[in-house]
Amino acid sequence: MVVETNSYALFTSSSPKFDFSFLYPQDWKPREIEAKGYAEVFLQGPRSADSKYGLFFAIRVVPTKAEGGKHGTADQFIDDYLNRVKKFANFKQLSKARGEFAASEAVEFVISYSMPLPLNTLNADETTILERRIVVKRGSFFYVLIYSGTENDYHASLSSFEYMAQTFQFSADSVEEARAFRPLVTPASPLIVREKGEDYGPQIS
Amino acid sequence: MGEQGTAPKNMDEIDEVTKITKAGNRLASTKVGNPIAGTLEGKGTRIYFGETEDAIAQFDPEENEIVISNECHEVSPNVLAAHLAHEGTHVQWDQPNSIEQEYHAFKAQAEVWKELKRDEADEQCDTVATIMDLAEEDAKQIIRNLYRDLPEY
Repeated sequence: MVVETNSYALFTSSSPKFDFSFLYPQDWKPREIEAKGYAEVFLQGPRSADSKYGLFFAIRVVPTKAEGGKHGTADQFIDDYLNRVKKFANFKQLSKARGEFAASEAVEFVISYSMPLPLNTLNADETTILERRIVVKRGSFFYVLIYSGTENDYHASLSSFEYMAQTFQFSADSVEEARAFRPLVTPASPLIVREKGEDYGPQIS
Repeated sequence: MGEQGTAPKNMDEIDEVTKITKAGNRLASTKVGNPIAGTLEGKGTRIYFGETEDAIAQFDPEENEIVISNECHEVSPNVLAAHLAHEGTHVQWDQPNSIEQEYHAFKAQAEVWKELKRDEADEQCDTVATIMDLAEEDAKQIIRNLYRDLPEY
């Protein structure tokens, strides 16, 4: 993959909640959100002219149970989300894999679902949304990388997401540590690294 | 609660007022919708069928009016009540729109819809209910991506 690094900017934050950095496309504007129960960096990506949703990349920091959150393990955290999101029309879990991301154990999954967009309009179109999440438990926090968008937009910017994920590193880690562990993200969806075969189950619908 | 400001002139207008009144009464019958209906009544918000910019319903704060699309005459009173809950939340907030405000408007719409719908299905209201069943941070993320220029608060 060829990436023009001069078109990327480095995300860092003065907030201790965002104790990580990554490179992101310069025209994706990051927004830092600190709310009750979570903190998030949200970056809106470009959207195609006919898109009614576009796409985004976000990194969310959520406390584990030990820190006052709801879930103790990454599996519980993921199951809770999947149980909610599977109520969307045409929900499918496309893949799930375990591996290492930024020197920590991680789970990555890809889902798709649809919704009529724009919401609450007369001429909404049933629109397929693709979403990829990488969940990392590190210390007493979950770090969730989220990449989501309409089918077309998702694929159009997938290399940007992969670059953002591949350049992600926790501030406390040395460059050598970050380099020692290549991200779970693989070159092209849905060819995800499969480290434990049993994680590939049947599609859920 | 019904169309306010002018008396209906013909049978079509009487029919429209009846539909809005029925939807308003359904709204007022719900736990979440009751205070919203009270706000609409108290603030004298005019509600009527008219032209919208593709929206099922929209609130114009300058005119203090909620317009329900002319294409929604056949929509059920429960669906209209849910949309009135959404627009009525904007009336309640009475400040420039934000992600936080949209979240609460969608939440009110979902809760009123879930309380009223029983076996009824409506693609838009059902989708909104599904979004609002997500964790708050996930619902807001979808709203944030839909309303790209809105500030957080």
